[in-house]
Amino acid sequence: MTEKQTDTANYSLTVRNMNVYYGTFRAINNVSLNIERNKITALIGPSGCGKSTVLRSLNRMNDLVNGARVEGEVLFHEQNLYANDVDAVEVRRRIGMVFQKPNPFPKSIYDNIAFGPRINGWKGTKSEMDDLVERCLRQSALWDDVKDKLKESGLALSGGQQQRLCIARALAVEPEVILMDEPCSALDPISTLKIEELMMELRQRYTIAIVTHNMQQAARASDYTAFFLMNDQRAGELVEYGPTGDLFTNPKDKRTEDYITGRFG
Amino acid sequence: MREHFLHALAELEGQIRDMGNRVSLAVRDALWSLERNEPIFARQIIANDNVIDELRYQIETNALSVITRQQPMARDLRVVSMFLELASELERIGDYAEGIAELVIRCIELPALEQPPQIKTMALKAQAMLRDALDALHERDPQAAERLEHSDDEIDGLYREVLAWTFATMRSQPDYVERAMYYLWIAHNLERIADRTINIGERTSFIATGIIDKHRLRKDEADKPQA
Repeated sequence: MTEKQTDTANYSLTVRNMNVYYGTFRAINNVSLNIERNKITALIGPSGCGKSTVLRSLNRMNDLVNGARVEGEVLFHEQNLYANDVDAVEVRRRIGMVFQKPNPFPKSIYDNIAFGPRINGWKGTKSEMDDLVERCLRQSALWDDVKDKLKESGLALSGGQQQRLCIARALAVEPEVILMDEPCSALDPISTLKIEELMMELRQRYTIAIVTHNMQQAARASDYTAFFLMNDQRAGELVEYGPTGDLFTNPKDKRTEDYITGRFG
Repeated sequence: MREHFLHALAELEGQIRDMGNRVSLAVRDALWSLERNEPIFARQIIANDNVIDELRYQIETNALSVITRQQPMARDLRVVSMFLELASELERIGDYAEGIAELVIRCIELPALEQPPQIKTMALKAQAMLRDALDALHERDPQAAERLEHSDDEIDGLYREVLAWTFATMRSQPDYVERAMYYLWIAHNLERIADRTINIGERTSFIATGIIDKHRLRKDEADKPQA
């Protein structure tokens, strides 16, 4: 860990000594973690272990929660995202997010994708926007499904397609990192596998961090896995972090082994 | 938690134990029949080998079912996947015992010729190695592979002596060429049994530690007897 922390070049995000509080309750205790560039990092652990809190702290989504407070640093291009002069909206543009429940805007498929660039002051032509929409839909493996119905409502799509539309929408503002908070938990198994395949495609251009309750999903679809657990004060802690293959075949920590083998209550 | 899974794992472990015991007995009986030139025991071993083969398929079927239905992780996955390997190692050891039994039967028809003493030493050592490997497996002892390797070096040395004895006998006593040849094959089977027990030790060490000792695997290749 120490060696990794001194070399940030391979990391999209570096978390240092992060504590997160909701009011006086400490939800996260002293987490340090490097998110590798162009890799998929899975955050796993039982309910309440703080994995979603950590994920949401990576793009200041927790600012939107009343009483939430983050201590420590999240470094992105050497810049601490929690420094006073950092614009949280810009942070969320460069570090996008996809949520558990697909949440397309009640607009056309086309406008769902065009929305982000437009509110960010899009200055291109209509034809350039057409290209952007097509590119994002292709990158999210949705183009062939929707190319003939771009003017139809995003809400008319299936759940799996809606989630891919949300990914396409996140890509439209050209982020570097995509955070996914249980993106498949509302999807059927085939849609889930499609999203996983898509993640592995997207990893060539983006860095992905994903919270998942599904350990098999972490094992299948991530390069690195971080295992979190609540401590005695009910604060989430990082127990073990490493290459996914290692963590699932030969975990170093007994608590990780107990959790992934299902011997943990 | 996961009572069904733990039960399935225990059942697999029991089958491996059963198979290990049967193979161990087959080796013991093969050596007993070799020592006494006793064909009845030898025929029994050959007949019983089917049971060992059948157990191997049962273990494979059960292990694949556990992988499919329970999706074991970490140590559990190592145990189940190594049981698949171990079933195959044990089945082969059973085949070597059967091979020795067949050679004993063939020898009975031939003019008597005293065995080279190395065969008895090899037999005792191979049997002890197998016992050690099976105990280590059930105790998940990661040190077994190293221990077994020492014995294997000795067995390889003895095998080379039997080889030299065979050549010398064939040259000096042409009437005994066949029997000398069968003794060499018996020694070869014993040498293979020893090799397979090392594999058991290595799989055990992997179950216990999660580390595959590649250095040892390479050494194995380099040490393989040329005969």
